[in-house]
Amino acid sequence: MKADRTTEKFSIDSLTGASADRSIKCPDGFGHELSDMIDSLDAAERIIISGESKDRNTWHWLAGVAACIAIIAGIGFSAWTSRTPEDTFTDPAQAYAEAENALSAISERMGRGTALAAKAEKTMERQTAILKELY
Amino acid sequence: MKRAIMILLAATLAFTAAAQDWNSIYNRYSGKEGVSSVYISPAMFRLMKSLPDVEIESEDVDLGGIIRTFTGMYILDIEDGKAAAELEAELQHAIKAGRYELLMEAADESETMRIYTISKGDTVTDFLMLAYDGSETSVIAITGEIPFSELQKLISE
Repeated sequence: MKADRTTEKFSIDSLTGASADRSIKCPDGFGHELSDMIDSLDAAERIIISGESKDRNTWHWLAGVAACIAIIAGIGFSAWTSRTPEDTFTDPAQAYAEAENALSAISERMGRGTALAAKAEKTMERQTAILKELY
Repeated sequence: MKRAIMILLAATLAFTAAAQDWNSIYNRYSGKEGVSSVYISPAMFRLMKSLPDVEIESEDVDLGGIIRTFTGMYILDIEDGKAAAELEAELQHAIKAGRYELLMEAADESETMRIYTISKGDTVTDFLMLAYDGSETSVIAITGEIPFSELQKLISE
């Protein structure tokens, strides 16, 4: 059938054999035209590939620059926030008084905490006494 | 080259994490609106050691002994609710990361107070008090070589 002939597969060997057969006449200039067509296809493919490669390189470069900026900004911010603060007072006597005020505030709050604990202990003792009476 | 960049990035992250200390926390909140701050440096505490004892009026307690064991003090009083919430979250993170131990917690109608310490044997090297009374959050952080016996005086007074 005609369709079977058109879809017949050609092996490399059969194609090589056909090209070596000088009895088959090739139209004049066909070889030259075919060669030009292959060259133009190759040139077109190279243009396409170089365009894609250029875009990818640009993105890589931008990502690298952004990463460097982020690292430098992170180091700078960390160094800035970790710097030793300035003393609030220049007079040691004033600083001493402020430290004593802070300790007095701590002492007062801790005293309230221990007072609450003492109150809870008394409540527990009362409850324990009641339980002992029952048993 | 890529390996060098990854190592540098990892070192930067480690450096940043280690920098979450009291200097860093104090610098971030000091100077903000609604925040009162006091910092007393190790150099100032060394100057204090040469001072004669100073007594506050109406106080019978001599706190000079314990103050002389301090090397640094950070005080933050925050009235702004948002900043206070941010600070508390940050401190909770620092507490979990920094081996702080809860020494005391007391809560009544007016105030909630928590005290944390880091100790080496009988010496307290870091002392942290957080107090919240509904409108204001107070933080007092002290570093030094504080004998536990001196700290007990604060409780007994």
